[in-house]
Amino acid sequence: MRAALRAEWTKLRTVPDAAVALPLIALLTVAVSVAASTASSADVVRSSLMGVELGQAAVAVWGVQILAGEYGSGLITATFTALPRRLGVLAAKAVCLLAGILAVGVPSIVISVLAGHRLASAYPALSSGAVLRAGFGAVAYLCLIGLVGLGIGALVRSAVAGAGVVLGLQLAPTVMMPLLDPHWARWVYRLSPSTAGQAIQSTVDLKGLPIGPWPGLGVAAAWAFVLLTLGAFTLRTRDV
Amino acid sequence: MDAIIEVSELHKRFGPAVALDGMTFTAGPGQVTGFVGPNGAGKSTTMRVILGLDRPDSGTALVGGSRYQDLRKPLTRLGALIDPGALQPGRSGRNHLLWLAHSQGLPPKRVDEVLEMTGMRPVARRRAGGYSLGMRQRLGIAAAMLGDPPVLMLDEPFNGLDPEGIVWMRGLLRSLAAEGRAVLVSSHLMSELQDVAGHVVFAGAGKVVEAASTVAMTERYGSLESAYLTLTRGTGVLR
Repeated sequence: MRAALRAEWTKLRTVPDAAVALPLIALLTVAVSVAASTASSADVVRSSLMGVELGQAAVAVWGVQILAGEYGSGLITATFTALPRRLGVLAAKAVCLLAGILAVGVPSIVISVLAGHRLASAYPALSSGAVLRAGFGAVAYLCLIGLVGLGIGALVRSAVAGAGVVLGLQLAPTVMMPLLDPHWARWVYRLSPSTAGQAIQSTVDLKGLPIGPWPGLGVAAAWAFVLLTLGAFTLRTRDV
Repeated sequence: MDAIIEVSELHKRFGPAVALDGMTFTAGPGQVTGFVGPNGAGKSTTMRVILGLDRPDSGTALVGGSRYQDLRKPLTRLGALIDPGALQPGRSGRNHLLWLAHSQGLPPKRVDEVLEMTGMRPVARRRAGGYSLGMRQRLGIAAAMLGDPPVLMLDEPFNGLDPEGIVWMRGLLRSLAAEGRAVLVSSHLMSELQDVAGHVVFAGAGKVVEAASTVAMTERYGSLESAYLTLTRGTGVLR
């Protein structure tokens, strides 16, 4: 596992992919967050984290690409020849992915919250429970969405198809909900990883939300767990 | 004991197509074993099964007595060149070898040694996506030699090499065998194998149709090429 981790880390830092993806995630997240904080809002904390809505797309696509991209180039053959324990490779990729998301997610969220605190009126104290939960929750949510992407990548083994699936999974609920009967819309909100997962960033009128902050993050975690498990099974049983 | 590949009764289907139908042979130490046969005879599938990339329906493939998947630091036991295109185009050749070295706990110094050995040092810091097929083959040989393994398995190593490269490859195969390693080489170039292979395995339709020393084949048929044409006649139907 240590050798796999070292190999994957070397891979990550020797191609431009991460160097493009990571600043993009930061830029999208901070820019949208700051813009949202200048508008008036009932939930100023949630607004100050609006950038996560966009940053998550880049995170998810990066999660898909980190494994599925190797099927496109054919590199996967070399990877599994050097490291025949395929689940070790998956674990090493997950660790590298999470390290990258944390490295870029934590500063992005901190900047977003600080900007919100400065720009929005009636922003709660930075040390208040609600702000800390929303901030740390946003980082945790980005990590889970990255793992959802990795799991989908392992399942579909194509970066393009995987990106399509994961972006569809993120966007479909937002597009669908206004068209649905309110009862069904609430269920879509509760069950889809993006809407339920981002409930962790809400700080106002929690009783009125279709799902609470922590159960919501739990739904996103369940998606990540199930997709990674299915992906791991696929990786182990199928021919390369 | 380490320098040997033993393939025994491999069977594999891809849907309705039979790829391997009882493939059985041994590639032993101290010689180049040629692995020949028409397209679709199962050579590449056999090599992928040996590497644990494809799973056989039945049968075994052992490297130095163990399944490849069970080897610790497998590149120090078997070096393989099966797909020279298995590269990320944006990564330099040197960095490709570097992550491979890290995956086996090998020092970066070893990367420079194999780059020197394969003549890739001058282009090692260029993007691999810009390499010619010949350069990719050399990089693939460098990757195969990284762990200084007792067994080598090369699929069509002469592909894309210029005449100088072909002479180099011929010399390399000979010296690897002379060092006592087991070298399994698949190729369509009978004239190349005629000179370097001590033993030849003829495959057709997923199994071995003949395996003998190059000397014996040449005595019986005149040349490896006529042996090939006689032995594999009718097995080359694309399925």
